[in-house]
Amino acid sequence: MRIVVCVKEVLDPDAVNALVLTGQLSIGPDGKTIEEGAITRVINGYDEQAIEAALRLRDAGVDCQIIAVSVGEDPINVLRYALALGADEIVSIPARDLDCLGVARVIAEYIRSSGGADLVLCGRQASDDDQGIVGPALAELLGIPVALSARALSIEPDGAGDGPALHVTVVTPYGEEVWELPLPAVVTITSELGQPRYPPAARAIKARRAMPQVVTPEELGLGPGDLEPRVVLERLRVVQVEGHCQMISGDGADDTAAKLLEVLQRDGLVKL
Amino acid sequence: MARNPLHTKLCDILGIEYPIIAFTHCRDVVVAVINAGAFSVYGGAPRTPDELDADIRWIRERIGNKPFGVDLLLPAASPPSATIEELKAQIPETHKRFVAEIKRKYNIPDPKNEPEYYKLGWFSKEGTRRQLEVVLDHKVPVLAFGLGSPEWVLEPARARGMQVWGLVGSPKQAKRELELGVDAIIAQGYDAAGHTGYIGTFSLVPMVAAIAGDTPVIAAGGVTTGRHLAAALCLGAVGVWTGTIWLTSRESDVDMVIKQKLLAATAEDLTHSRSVSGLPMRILRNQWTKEWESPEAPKPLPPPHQMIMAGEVMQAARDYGIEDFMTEAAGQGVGFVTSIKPARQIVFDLIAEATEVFEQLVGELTITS
Amino acid sequence: MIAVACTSAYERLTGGDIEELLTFLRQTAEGLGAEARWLGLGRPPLDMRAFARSYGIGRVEVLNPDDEDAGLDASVELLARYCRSASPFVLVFASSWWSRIVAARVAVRLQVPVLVNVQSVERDEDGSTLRARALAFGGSLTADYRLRGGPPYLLLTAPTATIPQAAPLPSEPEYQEVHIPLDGTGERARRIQVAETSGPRLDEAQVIVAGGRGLGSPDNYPLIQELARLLGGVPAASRPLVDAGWVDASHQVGLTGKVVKPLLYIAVGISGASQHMAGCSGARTIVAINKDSGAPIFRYAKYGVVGDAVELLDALIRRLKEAKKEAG
Repeated sequence: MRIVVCVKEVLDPDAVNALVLTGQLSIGPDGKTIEEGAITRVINGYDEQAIEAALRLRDAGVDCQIIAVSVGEDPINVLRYALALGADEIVSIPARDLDCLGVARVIAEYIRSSGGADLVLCGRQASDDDQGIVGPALAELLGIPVALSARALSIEPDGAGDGPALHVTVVTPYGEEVWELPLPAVVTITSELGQPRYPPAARAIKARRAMPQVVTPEELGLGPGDLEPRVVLERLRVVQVEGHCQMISGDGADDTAAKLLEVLQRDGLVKL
Repeated sequence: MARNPLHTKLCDILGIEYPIIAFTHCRDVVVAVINAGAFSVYGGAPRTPDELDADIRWIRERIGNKPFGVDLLLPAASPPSATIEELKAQIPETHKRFVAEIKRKYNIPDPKNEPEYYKLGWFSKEGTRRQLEVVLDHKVPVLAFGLGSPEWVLEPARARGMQVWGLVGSPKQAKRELELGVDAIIAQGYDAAGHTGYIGTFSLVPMVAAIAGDTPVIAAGGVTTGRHLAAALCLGAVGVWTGTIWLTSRESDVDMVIKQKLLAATAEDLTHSRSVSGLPMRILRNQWTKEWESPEAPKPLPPPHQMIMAGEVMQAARDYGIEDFMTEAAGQGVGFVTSIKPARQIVFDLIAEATEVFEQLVGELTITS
Repeated sequence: MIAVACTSAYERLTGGDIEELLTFLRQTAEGLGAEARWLGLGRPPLDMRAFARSYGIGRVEVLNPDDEDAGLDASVELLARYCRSASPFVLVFASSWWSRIVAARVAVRLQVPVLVNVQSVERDEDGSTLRARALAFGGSLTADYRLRGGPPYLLLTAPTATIPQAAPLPSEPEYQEVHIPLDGTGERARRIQVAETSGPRLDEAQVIVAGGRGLGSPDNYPLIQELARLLGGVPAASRPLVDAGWVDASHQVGLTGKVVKPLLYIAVGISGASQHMAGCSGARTIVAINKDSGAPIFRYAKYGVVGDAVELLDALIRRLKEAKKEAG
């Protein structure tokens, strides 16, 4: 089984948020590039979980080849990390300034030209742009079904009598659902999957020197015209939140509680 | 075919992937580091016995049956039980006046919250004894201690299948611990954060390794990069004990103001001052340490009295965000800590860098396992 | 020119979600100088006519109103056809599991752009491109994008970005049901277990009490449940509690959890990270209880209490129980 996992390198969103909270996030003179400073580039957390999802299928006995693919200026670090975790192959597609549909197009072409995939996994969204479009877009481009926000996957040997199918437990705001998809399919992974494993030492050491296979968009038959972005970032701004909080305090917890309830009752929010 | 130099005896003893020990006061860091394949020792000294009990359960829920450790002050190292009021009454007038003047000069109000340092366990034999009971009850796999004598704790720990590790700052201390039969020695050099001895890591580790025999030696003090890790192994250690690098990690609950100071700091911004705890402690230089360095300053009191004075001011600094009076213990490797990273990434980067160092020396490592 | 909002039988949108979506649609349509229409796929889960009337929508169309569920493949096909024939300038969706799949797929099929987490849009001076503001980095940043290559431009709204506002004058919407048979391609993805929400829905609750890491231990979560019960509300949790397994994911409030708009939201031991606030900032009144006076949540809250979560919960519960006893 050929499993393609899409991974993205992002600025660590926790570091970005920590700096926003202290008013220390700097955006460069072009108004849209975050100054990295104390921020590290990391693998998108949900994509790390997508790799974990693939590894769990392998642990469950599925005979598979796991290929990690990344589109970006120089995604070598995340690809090496994917290899360290357990991917069999790593593929880098150098490209810049693509929009989400452009990224999906490039990956779809890679998948088609490299012999197809039985399963395509992505994180549910990138933690920088929060879009979550690449997964379903890939499904449409490849003409295969998709399920989002999966926390568990299993291959059922005979789904609906038509050969192997995928059972996916998805997390939605209304609760969990289980979907059955024929293979090939696209599934995006959410963090409810659980703690991803750490890279074993031998793999971590070996991955340090690994070079990904490089496939350019041109080699995939995609020229600049095909990948011209239609969604272009122009400005990034920190959200300003003003506070007008009325602090309530009393003589100990009981008195404070009483005062709070009084205020809420006055506002008609609580009936005593 | 080469062996993996980063797979040491410590990895086999503990059943861990990477010979890195994170010493931290933050539970989330403990969990993240252990789930990243390394080891962690939780600094339990500032926690009440009940809090420590809850912390240990919390950690266990998140790491399953992977091992971890707790670090405590042992009873012999703490003063006889006394209340905060009794201790305060013992502080000389000169010192009280000096601190009052600092508060006036810099507009430092009384703290809003009870100073964290006033927790029972830090200040009395009774408290530390109860903390120890909690750790023994839970059979925490590793009990580590810096100050104090482990004599009476070795047997109950052994009986529970626990290991006891001692932090030392000199070969003399190491010898004593080895004679008592500790399971590992952490040789913590002068470079370290907080309370340390006077011998540099580069000198201390080989001396301790030379007398340790089969007892594992863990290097501490200034370890913040993969290069330090590689060097520690060359000096005879089988692992490293690290602290400063975790303070700015994603998972660390250290205040952002402090994180930013740490990210900007180098070894030159640190001072070895008695003004916080009464014992020499390596911390970020700040207005408090500077005041105590001035010619008019009285001599810092021994613990716990100095801590009582400092604790109040530092709590007020935290409560009101008075940045000049906020500080943190940090080691001399602090200059290498320049970004906020997830703990997983820190572990991975340490290993990657250590590998690079070895490969620069000997060529590509082709590991069999 | 028309601006269309699309909802489906699959999505289980609440009245509040619809009100937000229709407000966004109307405001967007006004800005574009377009006519606002509402398109439903499958059996309408609520009274579309009534909402359309209050929110000033001129026309409601329902495709295949007998379909219990709006299948993904069928919906993509229906929407693609709809766009080709009606040529909307924008096609707007509420953010949902269904819409994230359908909108992205339709965008690919029609080769037009799609953008998620949109707060607002306006047409560019040149007329054919769109400028949109969307959330980024979990909601702590906003990103301004320029979109070209449409129409249609497909947009998913950012939860709670719009404050619902009924139209100044109700409209008299045209209402049309259309049955479009789709040559049995059949859905490839099949739902074999439907989500079962037990108890009151979080996203419809008027009063919510949410617990965060400041609770300290899962043993303290029952206090949240008890306070919620006494206030006639629903208990909730921030993401860390769900990740830690203290609480089921269906109780999670946040950007990747549920977005809630209660009258009263009491956040206990929650620091106020933007990912959580993106889920609850639409609440009318936020009360924050946290022991850290510097916690970001106090910037969003109307009332704040600095103190120990468990002590205050105990005290609030005690007081409410006493008051109930006195009331008889």
